[in-house]
Amino acid sequence: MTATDRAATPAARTRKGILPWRIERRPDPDRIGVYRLVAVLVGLAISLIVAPILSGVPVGDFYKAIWTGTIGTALGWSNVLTIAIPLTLAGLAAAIPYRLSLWNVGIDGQMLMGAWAATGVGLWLPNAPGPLLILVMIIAGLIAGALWIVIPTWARVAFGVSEVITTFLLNFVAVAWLVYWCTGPWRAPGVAGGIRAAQVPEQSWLPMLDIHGAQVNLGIVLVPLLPVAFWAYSRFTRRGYEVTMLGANPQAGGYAGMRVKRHLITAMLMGGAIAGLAGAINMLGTSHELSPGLTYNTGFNGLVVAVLAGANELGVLALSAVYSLLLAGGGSLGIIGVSSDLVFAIIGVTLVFGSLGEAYARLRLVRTTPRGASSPTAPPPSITPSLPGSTESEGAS
Amino acid sequence: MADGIVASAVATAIGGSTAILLAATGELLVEKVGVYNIALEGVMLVGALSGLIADVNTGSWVIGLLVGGLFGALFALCFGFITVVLRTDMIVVGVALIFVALGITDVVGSKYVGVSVPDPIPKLPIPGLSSLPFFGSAIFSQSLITYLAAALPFGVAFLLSRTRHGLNMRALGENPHAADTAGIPVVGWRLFYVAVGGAFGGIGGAVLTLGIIGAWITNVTAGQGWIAFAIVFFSGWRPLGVLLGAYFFGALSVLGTVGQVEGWDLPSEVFTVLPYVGTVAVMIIRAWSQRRRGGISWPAALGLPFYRG
Repeated sequence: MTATDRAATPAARTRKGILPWRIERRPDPDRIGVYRLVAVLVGLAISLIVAPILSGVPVGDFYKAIWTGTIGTALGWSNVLTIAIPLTLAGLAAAIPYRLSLWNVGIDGQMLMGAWAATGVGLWLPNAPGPLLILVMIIAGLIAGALWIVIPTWARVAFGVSEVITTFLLNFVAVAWLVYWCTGPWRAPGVAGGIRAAQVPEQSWLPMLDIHGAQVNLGIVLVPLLPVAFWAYSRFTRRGYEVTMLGANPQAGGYAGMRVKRHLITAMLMGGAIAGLAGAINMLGTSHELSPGLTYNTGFNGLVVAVLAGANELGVLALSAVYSLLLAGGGSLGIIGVSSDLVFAIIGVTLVFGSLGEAYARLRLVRTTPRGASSPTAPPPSITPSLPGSTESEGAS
Repeated sequence: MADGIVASAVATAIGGSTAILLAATGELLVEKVGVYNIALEGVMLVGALSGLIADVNTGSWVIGLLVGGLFGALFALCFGFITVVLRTDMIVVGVALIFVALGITDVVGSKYVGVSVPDPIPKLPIPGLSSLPFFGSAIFSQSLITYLAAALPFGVAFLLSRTRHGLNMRALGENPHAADTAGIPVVGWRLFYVAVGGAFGGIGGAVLTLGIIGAWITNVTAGQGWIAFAIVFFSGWRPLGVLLGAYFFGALSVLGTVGQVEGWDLPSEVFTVLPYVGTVAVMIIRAWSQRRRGGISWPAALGLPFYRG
């Protein structure tokens, strides 16, 4: 704890390291978000230059595939918008817990469980009227997603078990659960190849919209709606304000009488529910059938979006748009024989660059005083035994 | 009949947990000095593919393991530089590097899907011991690396609790300012052990492709890096706990095979999820029992960036 509390004082600069510089914190870090964003764009540019070389295809074909797969054609636009729906929701599912420094690394599993519950309702009520059926399926998805994060939430709040590991490991359980239902009770009759369940009733398929030639399902209305709604909630309500406060300083919130645990639990369950919604919508709007590969790492991409947006809901909306373009472009690389998983490497690189940008904003490189002489302004006030050089070189050998 | 099945299941459990055991032991060293390398899954992937490529091109499993360890260490050093030197968030960078590893190994590894390993890691039965009755052949007919991996936690335990350097290492994880005051280079040693942990993780990954599975598959680790990471938590940061945890995982993962042969009437997915559910359950139980005893056992400075004054 003291490590983060201690301010950088020039008086402490008394010892010489191996290198003639050392890194210290800037006393007044500024515009961290801007540096992070610029660094992300730099990382994106570098990745897009290196990627065709790494994958060993003609450079022209590479960019042409990305162009036609994204904004170059109506089909490309359809892909971008369709990807944006689950990605934005997954971004929110990560961002809402992340505001309280909680990690939801299990979004993929929660999405699958949401889609599973929605499918269950659909196969159980095959003759229900469309709008009602869709509503019930979506509610089932919300509940299933929230239930899937209950155990990690309980373990975290009651015993302090790291939610990073528990939420992640449950992804594998969700996949196995879906494999069981898709190969057993709900197996698609007479379909060979691929693990997938029977299609849900046709009246529950989300209607398609036509936006200037691009085809996208009705779920697209949630893309601007939900982030703005959550942003307004956290900006204009008392509970939203409390969460913002808690995120900035958890201890102060506790002293101020806020019920910290309740906020933590709400944020986690909300994240799970939105992930479940994302899974249900994705199933109802695109494949209309359950399969264990339904999410294709959307949950992780959502986590990236949430982190780079600094958990800001409007930032999630904006960055989801950028990453939808990237993912759609990456998906189209399959046409020229490049694995579409390449795009995960690019996303990872942008996230690394985001961290580098943040480090650049927070830190500065300081030339150390030569020969370990103590600083001319003030002698070290403490009893710190400063043994220049000798002990360090001994330890490093 | 049934005894033969149990014996072969024990053999598979011990051999199959080698990768996780190596990775978890390395991660324990990393966490003891105050860093957690959450990118362990990525480290193992990089080690798995680079080890396989080295084996395919040189025809030697020893070189395969060494190359896997080298690339694992280099990849972990990327993580170490960004988090330890630049003091960024370990979870963010870890997740990012897992993505990078997943994407790059998939693209590079697509040429090696279906390539058979020319020189897989051989079994090395210990004369005498392997002909003991009951589990003799199961326990003592493993590969050399499995024996070494089983001995490693004992070595680490000795290093940590019986040597001067081990005391310094624990100081780095418990109170880096005190360590710094005592003249121990905090950043330098943290980087060094991130690299060591990465080397073990990389060798573990290579054991997967060169021994346990014997081929490259996209995302060959399938969460084993995460399980290794979790094992360190529920070991209570004790080397022998890591050993037990890894074998516990191995036992869970072979239970499905035993169940099939014995004719247990359960869907195979139940056995698929056992290691993951078991890991989560043991983590919760351990945290619960620690809470009751009132003791927190993790290194006090774990995951905190170090700033000198």
